[in-house]
Parts: sequence; C-alpha cells; structure tokens
Amino acid sequence: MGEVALECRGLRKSFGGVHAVDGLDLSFESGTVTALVGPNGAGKTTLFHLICGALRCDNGDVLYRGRRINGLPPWATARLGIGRLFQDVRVFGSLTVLENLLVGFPDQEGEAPLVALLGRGRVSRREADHKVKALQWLGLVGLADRSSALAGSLSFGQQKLLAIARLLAGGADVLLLDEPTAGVHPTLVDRLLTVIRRLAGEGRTVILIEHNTSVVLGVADWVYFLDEGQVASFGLPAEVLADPSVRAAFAGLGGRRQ
Amino acid sequence: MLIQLLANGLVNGCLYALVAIGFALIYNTTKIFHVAHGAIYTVGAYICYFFMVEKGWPLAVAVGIAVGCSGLLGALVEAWIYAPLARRGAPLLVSLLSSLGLYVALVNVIAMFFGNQTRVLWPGVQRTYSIVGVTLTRPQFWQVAAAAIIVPGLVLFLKFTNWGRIIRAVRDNPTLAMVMGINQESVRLWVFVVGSAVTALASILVALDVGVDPNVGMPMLLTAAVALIVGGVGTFEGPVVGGFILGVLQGLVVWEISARWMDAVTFGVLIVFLLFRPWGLAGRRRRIEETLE
Repeated sequence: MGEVALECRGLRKSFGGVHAVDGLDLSFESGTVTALVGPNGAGKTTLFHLICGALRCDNGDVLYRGRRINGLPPWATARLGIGRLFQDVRVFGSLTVLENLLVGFPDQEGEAPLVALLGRGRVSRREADHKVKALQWLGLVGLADRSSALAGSLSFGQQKLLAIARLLAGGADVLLLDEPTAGVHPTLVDRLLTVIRRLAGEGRTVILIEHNTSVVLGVADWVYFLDEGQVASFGLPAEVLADPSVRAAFAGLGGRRQ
Repeated sequence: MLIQLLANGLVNGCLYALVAIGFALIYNTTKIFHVAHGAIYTVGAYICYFFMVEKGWPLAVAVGIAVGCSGLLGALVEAWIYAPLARRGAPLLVSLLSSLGLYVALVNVIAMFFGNQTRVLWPGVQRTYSIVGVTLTRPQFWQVAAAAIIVPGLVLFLKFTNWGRIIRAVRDNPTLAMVMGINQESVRLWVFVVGSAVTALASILVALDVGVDPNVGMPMLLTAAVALIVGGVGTFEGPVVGGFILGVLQGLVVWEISARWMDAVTFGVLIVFLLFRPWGLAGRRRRIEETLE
C-alpha cells in the first residue's frame, strides 16, 4: 500500500534477565492501522517505549521514514512526528481542557521567551488559529463545553478523551495508542474508531495496542501477534485472530501468565 | 505607629513576594527544594556591593551586572548539578542535599572574600518619602516599585503566554510534556535564570537599605518556602499572597510584642496551615485519583 513510515529491525530490550523485547522485526506503512495484540508481558508497551525514546534498546534499530531514531530523547521523537497515548491516562491537571490541547500544537513560537514577549502580534494570530482547531478536536470527542474546566476535575473517561484529542491536535504523523478504548463509554468507542480510520485515511500511521477483538477486527488493517517479545504471527486481522494458538492466548488473558 | 508598622510589613511583603515567586518558579517546575536559592540571594547583593563600593561603578550598572550574574549562576547550578542528577534518575532528596552543600559552600566562599561583618552598600542617611503619615526610605520605595512591576508581570506571563503554558505543563507532568515535544531541560534552565535574577534583585534592594552579611540568605529562603506553602504549592500567585500575609503579620507582631518574635510568627503560620489547610490558600485539593500517581 503506502511507503513504510516506521520500521523496527532486530529490536531487543531486556530487564535484568527477562527479554521483554526479543528481536522484533516490524514495519508499519503510512495510511494503515496496525494492531499489536498479545498476552500481558508480550512486550507491547515496552515496544512503544522503545519507539518514542522513553527507553533505549539494547540492540537493533528504529527507523522513521528511513532515518535512525533510536537514542533520541522523547521530546525529539515527538517533534519528528511520533505521538503517543499512554495506557494510564495522563493530562496536565491544573491546566484547563483547552490549554491541554494548546500545549500540544507543534511549532510553538512562544517557546523562545523573547519571541513571546516581542512578537505578540504574530503569536496571538497563531494562537487564535490554534484555539479554533483545538475546539474542533474537543467537539469531536464531546468535550467542547468543558473547555475552560480544569483537566484535573474531569472524570477518568473524559480525561482519556482529552488525552486523545490532545494527541490528535498535535498533528503527529505516527500515532502510538496504548489501549485507546479501555475505560471509554461504548458509544464513544464507535466515534473513536471512526476518528482512527479517518486519520489513517489522511495518510497517518496508527499503531494500537488492543485487547478487544471486536475493536481489532473493526479498525485494523494488519495485526501483529506478539508473544514473549517475539512476533508469533502477522497478517490480516481475521486470519490472525482465527489462529487457534492466538485464540488460546486471548482466552487465557485473565492470568495464565501471572 | 500602627500604620507605619503595617506599611513596613507591606514593604517586607513585597520582598517576600519577589523571593517567593522566584523560589516557586523553580520549585513548582522542577520539584527541587532549591536551598542554594538562599545563597544566590546572598551572592546577588555581594556582586552588587563589589562593583558599586569596591570598584566605584554607578549604581544602575552594578545592579544590572549583579542581576545578570545571579541569573547565570542559577543556570550553572542547574546545568552542572541538578540536570546531571536528573538525567541519572537521582531522587529529589539527593538534589536537596547537594543544594544544601552548595549553599554552605557559596556562603563560605563569600565570607572568605568579604568577611563576616555587615557590608554597607549605600552609606549615609537615605532620602525619605512621607505619604499619609507613612515614611519610606528611598530603597524601600524601590522595593515596592520593583515588586509592583515584576510580580504581576511574571504572574500574567505565566498565565497568558505560550511559554507560561509550557512551564505550567512541565510543572504538572514533566514526562507527558516531554512526549509532547517540549524540551524539558531548556525549560528548566530558563526557569532557573529568571527565578535567580528576580531573587537577586530583591536582595540587592534590601542590601541598599540595610546592608548585607553572608548569612542573610537562609532566613529569606525559609520565609519564601513558608510563603509558598501558605499560598499553595504548585501555584504561582499563591506565594505572592503568602509573602504579603507573612510581611503584614510580622509588622503587627513588632507592634504588639517585639521584633524578636517575627520568626515565631512565620513558623506559627506554617504550622497552622499545615494542620488546617495544607494545600494552601490558592492551591487546589486534588482528586483521589491524582494523588495515587
């Protein structure tokens, strides 16, 4: 389909003697949604940490559009266009809902303090433009009427939606979503999946970790099944999820590996 | 007499507000209990003393150099001590201890060069201004003016500019700010520069009034820390309010009892707040979920 946006080659990471990620070769094409499935401890979240730079890999490479990005700090990979949604919800609690989104916009000229003081005109035009866009994203997740509330006062589900809206507003090219639908009301899940499909339609690369098979079947183009830090199988969602060993692993999610 | 002491309290409140907002800027953003901030307070006044008295340079030039150098010193402390510790994942207690060590070292270096006695920056009788029964010396008048410009300026800057929003974002959640493309290290560096410069300005204005000795930093630092707790940790306008409350209460105590009880007031207020309102005046009670992080 599209060109390869993100590629992992021979990626390894161990903690103590445990191989969390054990030689992963993965590639993600732009304009596609790829789901990572697998039992707890399969290395999915570790893989996200390695891609965004929160952890350094022991071995192997992460390539973003052909450029080696392992070793870059998280803020640098974020500026390149790799956005991340955490599994546990994270918002800036004492900023307002709107401010949470405004922080996420790229190329903030205000970051150079002198420009912020001297170039007010240019900055405030850009700011007004950002506000309009931010409100649109908030509308999409149903939080427009809460835009001036403190983010810390929102409920868990609302904070999750806010985190997603912020990620979208950031305009990232590659989106790493760690269980985006967990804890979200079912009616909003459908809306969320529509948004994810639309993002892929715009040519962005979406990679999501998901435990809900119907979500995977509904939204993903490709599925990697990971087990013990390795790729156990790869293919179309219906094929991979039909595999008996995958189904066994899914059925045993509850505590087989504890 | 009461009005005069109240006015003195308000002037002191202005100074506390300046030092406290500098301290709050650093503490809220980095969570480092920056004890060496007290040393930077002292160093600022001594740099000004050196250029003004020993070199005989004009007052404005000496103040400018002292404020600039103190900002730079703050940046160096962050770049050479706190940032390397943070990069290696050292706990905040380690930062506190190194800060304490740095405080002792800096104060002793000052004493080595300038001696332990009080140094007078501006000898002679100062011009005074009398307004509605209140008499202020020229340096006191400048203290009020400096606080009236800088404190609201900083609060508005933090509230309404992109940069202020970025600082507040780092304060709330540094990890999240980093994944969103905010270079936390450069934000921290700027926070140290601004916080240190503001504090140095306050100390210079005090020194112009009453002189300076190597140990002025610690009481000021503790007052600023109490102002932050009283006003609300995590907020930027809180410590300003806290500073004024402490200043005025101290003025009242001087009137009612004696100046020796000023420090008792500061810590009495601290105990009352810790018991009954530990989140401070402007602080926000947190959701249970937030405190679990």
